[in-house]
Amino acid sequence: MGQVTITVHLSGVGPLRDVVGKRPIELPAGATVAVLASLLGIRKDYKEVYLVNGRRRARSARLEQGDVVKVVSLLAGG
Amino acid sequence: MFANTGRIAKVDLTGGKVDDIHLSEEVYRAFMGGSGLAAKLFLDMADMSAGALSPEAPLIFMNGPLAGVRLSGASRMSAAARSPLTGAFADSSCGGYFAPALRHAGYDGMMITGKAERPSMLLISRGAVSIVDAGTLWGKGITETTAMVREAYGARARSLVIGPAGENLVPFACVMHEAHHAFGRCGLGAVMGSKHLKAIVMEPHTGAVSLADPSRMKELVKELTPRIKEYLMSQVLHDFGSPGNLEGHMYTGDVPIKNWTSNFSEEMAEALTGSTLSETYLTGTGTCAYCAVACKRIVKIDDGPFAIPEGPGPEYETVVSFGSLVGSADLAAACKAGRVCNDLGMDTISAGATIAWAMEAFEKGDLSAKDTDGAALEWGDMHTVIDTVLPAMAARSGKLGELLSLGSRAAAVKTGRGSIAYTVQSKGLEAPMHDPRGGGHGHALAYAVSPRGACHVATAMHFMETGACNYPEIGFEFNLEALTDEGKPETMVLSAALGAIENSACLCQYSDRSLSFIEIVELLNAATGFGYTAETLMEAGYRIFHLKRLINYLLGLRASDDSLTERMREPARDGEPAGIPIEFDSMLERFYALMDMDPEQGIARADKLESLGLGDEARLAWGK
Repeated sequence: MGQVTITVHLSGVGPLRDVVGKRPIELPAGATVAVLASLLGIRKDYKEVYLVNGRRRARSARLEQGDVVKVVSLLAGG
Repeated sequence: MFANTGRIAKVDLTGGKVDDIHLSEEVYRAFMGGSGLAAKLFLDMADMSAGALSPEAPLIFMNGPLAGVRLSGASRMSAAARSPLTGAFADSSCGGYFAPALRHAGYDGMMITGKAERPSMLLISRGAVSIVDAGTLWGKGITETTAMVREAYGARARSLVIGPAGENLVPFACVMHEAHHAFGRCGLGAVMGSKHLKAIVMEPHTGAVSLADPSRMKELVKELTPRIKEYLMSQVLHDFGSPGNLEGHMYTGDVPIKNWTSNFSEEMAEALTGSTLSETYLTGTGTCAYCAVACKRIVKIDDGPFAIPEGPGPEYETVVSFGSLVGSADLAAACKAGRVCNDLGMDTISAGATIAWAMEAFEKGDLSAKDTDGAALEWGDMHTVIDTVLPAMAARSGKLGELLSLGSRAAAVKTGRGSIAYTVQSKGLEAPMHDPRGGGHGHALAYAVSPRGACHVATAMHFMETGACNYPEIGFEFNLEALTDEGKPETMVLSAALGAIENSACLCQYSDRSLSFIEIVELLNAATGFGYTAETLMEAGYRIFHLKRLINYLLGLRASDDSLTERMREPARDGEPAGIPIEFDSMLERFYALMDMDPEQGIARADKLESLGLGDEARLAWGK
């Protein structure tokens, strides 16, 4: 039988540090970045992007067991 | 005329004369105010062959039409001159309290030429400008000068002052306001110093601001203020200051490290980000007049080698310039370096970037201890930066100070050995702390074509590319991918006009992010009664952008000056954007075509200028 769930290591960065926290999260096997994003439900104006193992990934990208996911806001400033 | 007073002080420091300039309402309508109106005045009044630090070169301070309106973000003003750092037309914007105070004193701006025989200051008192001896202020730092001005003229007096760097003609010296706000970029402090002008001091005035439609303005301010305050970006800026998303920017590769040789450090991201500053040294926040955001930081460091008393804290640009850019993760050191630069009156971006270049040169052996009076310039050595390098730069003392006070481009030219390749500048202006290789490729184009050199606030590209604003009324909705050139020249076209509008209306780029373009149009109309539409306001933005490019042409710049250095063009070596090239040349070519600009001369073609109402100006470049 294939794996039913996967665990990814999730953390928020910058203004999303407190919003997302730093924690493992269990997802259905085959879950995409979009599935994770919908679970997190981050307010739209953070304009967040997802870095999976250090590289920005599209919402359609599949997540794998053990992936390290950083949630980064594109809020501009400075 | 509404909003504007129609009165600009004309000061001749050589002859000791003060007159007024009155421009027509049509000129105000066409060039708005701030940097646009200053550019028009510069073109009409300046001798284009005059060096930046020659007495006849004008230094212009100019309000926008919203100065004095009690709206968050409307308290900025522009200064303009030929830059001693770049040789190009320069404008620089400053927040704080001077702009509304100047409006209440009955002036839209000041144009200063000449050179006083002795150190002098301008005093604006009872609605008139006079030239006053400032011998006792000369040689003093910004903090002491500001305090002395308050002592002499009262706590409610407002001042613009230069420090030792400006007096010593350091080409990236700044003009400081209340020791916390700066006309930071392009060396306008040196222009002031070259005129023996130490300060401009204004006593309180109570002149009324006459608006075209005061009731509509009241409605707009009532409606927009809570929105500006509650906007997410405003909240992050309020809570964590402009470094509030430094950590996020670091993860996208936007934050430069060690002179742009790296784009990622987890340690630096955590150590330098705004929330860390809030948790460690923050004691309060500061604002500009009527601001609903309060992004400015007040900090105090009680002990350790970088202890500083409570006072102005660093903005994002300063934290990175004296943090990751020079290889340091020490936030206390960045706070102190910023404080030292403020007191000496030096732009933290150009100072930090020039030091970062010198550190790399030292590492490579292109500079040695013989060139630095024995100082070892090593990554992250903030003791040497603060105790030795910054004071030497401001004083232009010794070989070290003489070399680094030139700024990175001229220092690299003097050093040779190919070191120009790893300067990070365009037109001689050191790039701010956003690396387009990670932050967004359109920003590379913005750095190259910005009239004043590598700049992130002359245009709106930084905010447009990162999705901080949408302007469907003018055809822009955020749907850009950062690390590609797709859609960037087209965005840059809109961004050029938007940036010109923001810097001419003198709006804060933080406060106005939550406003629609139509609301900006309405604000300007309620103030001036000029009846702008979205279309005519954008046209004014293009007019101003092209006017500044035309001034640069007359000052000797060409399209070949719209360049980036090798370091800025090579792919990032690490972090999220590693290995991704920027398609710079094709973006530039497309931008010129979209803007109807000549790809060799770097200015708009004659018929384009004519269509923007710049027919007379076009003939200066193109002849008949």
